[in-house]
Amino acid sequence: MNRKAFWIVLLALGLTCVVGCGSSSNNNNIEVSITQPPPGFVQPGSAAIPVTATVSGDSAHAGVTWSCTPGNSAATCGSFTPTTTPSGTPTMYLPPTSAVGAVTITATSVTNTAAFANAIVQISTSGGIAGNYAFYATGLDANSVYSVAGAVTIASNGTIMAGEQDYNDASGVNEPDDTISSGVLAFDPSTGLGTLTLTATKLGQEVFALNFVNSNHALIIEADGLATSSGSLDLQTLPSTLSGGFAFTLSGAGNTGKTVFYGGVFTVNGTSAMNGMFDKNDEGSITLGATFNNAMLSAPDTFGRGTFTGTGIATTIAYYIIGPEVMRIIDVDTTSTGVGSAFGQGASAGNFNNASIGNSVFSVQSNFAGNLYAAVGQIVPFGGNFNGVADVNEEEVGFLDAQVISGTYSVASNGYGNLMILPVETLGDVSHLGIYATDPTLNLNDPNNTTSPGPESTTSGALVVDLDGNVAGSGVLVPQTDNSTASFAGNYALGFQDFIDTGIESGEFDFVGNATATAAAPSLLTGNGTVSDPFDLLGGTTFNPSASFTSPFTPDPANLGRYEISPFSVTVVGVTTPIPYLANVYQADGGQLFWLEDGADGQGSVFSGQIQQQTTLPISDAKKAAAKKTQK
Amino acid sequence: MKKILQGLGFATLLALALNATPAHAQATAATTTPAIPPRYDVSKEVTLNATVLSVPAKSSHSLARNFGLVLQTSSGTVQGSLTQFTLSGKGALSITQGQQIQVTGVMTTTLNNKQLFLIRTIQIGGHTYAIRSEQGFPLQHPAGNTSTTTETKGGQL
Repeated sequence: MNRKAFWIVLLALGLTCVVGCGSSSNNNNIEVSITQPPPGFVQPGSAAIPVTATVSGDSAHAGVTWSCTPGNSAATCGSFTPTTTPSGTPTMYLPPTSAVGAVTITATSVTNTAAFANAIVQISTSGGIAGNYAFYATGLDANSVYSVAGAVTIASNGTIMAGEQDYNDASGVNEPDDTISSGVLAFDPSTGLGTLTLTATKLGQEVFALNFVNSNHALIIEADGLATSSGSLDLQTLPSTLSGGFAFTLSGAGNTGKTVFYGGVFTVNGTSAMNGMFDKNDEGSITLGATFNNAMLSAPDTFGRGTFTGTGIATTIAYYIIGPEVMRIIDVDTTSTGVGSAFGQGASAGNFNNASIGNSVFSVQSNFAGNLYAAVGQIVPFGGNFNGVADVNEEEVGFLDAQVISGTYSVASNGYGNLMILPVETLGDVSHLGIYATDPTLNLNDPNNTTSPGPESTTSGALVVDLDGNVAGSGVLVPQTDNSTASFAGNYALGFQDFIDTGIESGEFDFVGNATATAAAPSLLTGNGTVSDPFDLLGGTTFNPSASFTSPFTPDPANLGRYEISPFSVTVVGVTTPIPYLANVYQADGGQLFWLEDGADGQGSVFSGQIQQQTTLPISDAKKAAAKKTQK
Repeated sequence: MKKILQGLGFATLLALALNATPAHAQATAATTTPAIPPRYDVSKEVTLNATVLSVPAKSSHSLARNFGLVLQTSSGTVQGSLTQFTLSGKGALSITQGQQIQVTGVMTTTLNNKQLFLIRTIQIGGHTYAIRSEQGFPLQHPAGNTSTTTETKGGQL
């Protein structure tokens, strides 16, 4: 089923209410429902929006009267033209000119005012955020594992001025270099939560739910009922010249659905990518140390997009520049899909060794095409060996919590290396990780972050590919610089990608949201956000329901930096019973944590994701804020 | 002279063409055997003739893991494990309680010390459907992965 057909099916299912809606009936059997709700987020002062209510059981056919709160005035919540409409006829809702936040729109039966329906819309700005942003995500569409990457120009009012993207599921939907003609970024600056709506020429409309970590970086999930995925949105520095050593990973699948991962290193010299050395896990078949030389880079266009050819990994890999040392990469062949990142190695290129890796947290996860699993852990290296602790959750064959691990690792001068958890089977099926070292000054999860780890950092992170025969996945290894429990506190953006196989139902849903962590006992993680559930795995009333949680978390006294969230009970709007998760967290520092579902919860699912600290709220254009500070 | 130039031109083109491929091709890489023992060792496959005692319950929209595929064999009951694509999505199979099926797979011990029969192929009504690769990874669209016969590399029970 292609994306348009999938959309038609969803419409046929009547999933038209995409924001909080309610309806009420009375003993006269008059029922009001808002059948055409407003978007979830609307810019203040934007053009009028049609909103439609339908009335049933009203023999007088008198229609509805429109009102809003707070204040029921144009300034406080907006206005309606006309203020009374017949059933099924839209009114035009004009939002207020200021960012008033949540507005409740009410349609009330003229015949009986006890019958009404509500819809909620957030009147919020994009915080003045503007510029070129690149995005990428991987997940599941109606056909298969899919990859998407692109770049957009965002105006300060949130309008998407232009852009382009590549979308590929290698199973019938492959739209490389698709023009993005319009769209809107709208979010609540006080929380960072919002949406990015894009209209691409060939693919059509996509909606990503997001939460900004800071003005340069957001966690994103596709949440439009057509597909679901997790990824990142990041400010671009354009133009940037790519040069020197890079490490990379790609997560994807072939056109028959075979899971496949690549990881390695290469050097960019002008229009050439040379000295390529990479590993491949193709559904458990492992290839180590494949090489390429003289692969070609095309020059980037105005959105920072160019292509690699001649790598031997795919015929064409498109790239989007984030900055001179960071790019998102996507396989755009028709016979395979894959998406990932390439990070620079900076001055460390050619100078890596085992001492480049210090105390670290690692996280790896499969995609939906493979044996479903996630593993997160922390290591303390010494002389090519390490000790540590880790959790693994393999959906089919079980879980291990707080497993003591040890083993060996090595990093060659070009950053190409491996980490072996020994003896094998200590951490389930996870034993052999390929590690590809990066510039110590780079934050692999927030690539524009120049303060953490910061320019003084000498300990490298690495991209990771799981090179085991029973599982295949990818992830990161990042320096663990602060495992203090007091540091896991404050406001966080967080997300996870959940692979489901209950035995009878399967698929993926994704979550993005925000939370507040309180370190003082009783420690609580309290938050909310959006779930993307196009496969209706949760049985909710919409494909993008809101979700919330208030969960206790407990530091693991035996393993500083590890936490247990028990229970991690997630209430999803429209779903009767909260999801009774358990989850465990590993802390690289107070701003960067990784979590995974604890298999002890007995759920037929595996989730893994990130928890990233929001250092400043409200989210606003950092460049403008800096400019304002200097104006005296 | 003209023929020589033409010949040189052809030789140049040939040289360029021959050089073009190596300039962009990757070198042959080593393929290694994974250090960890294969969970799905195809040499240990067995084939079971079985009656389906139970199948996972239809959608309750619960995420609870449902190991509902219980098989009655001549040696007793076996907990069978399917894949995420077997009963859900495009190309899913239909398995019903009481059905006579033949399954080929490998018995494994889970991380939590339970016995689980990882099913690679299922024979239903004269058709054999592959749900896993020989490495034990899930295959999409199992209804399309069909043949009329199946080969096993282990024994039959």
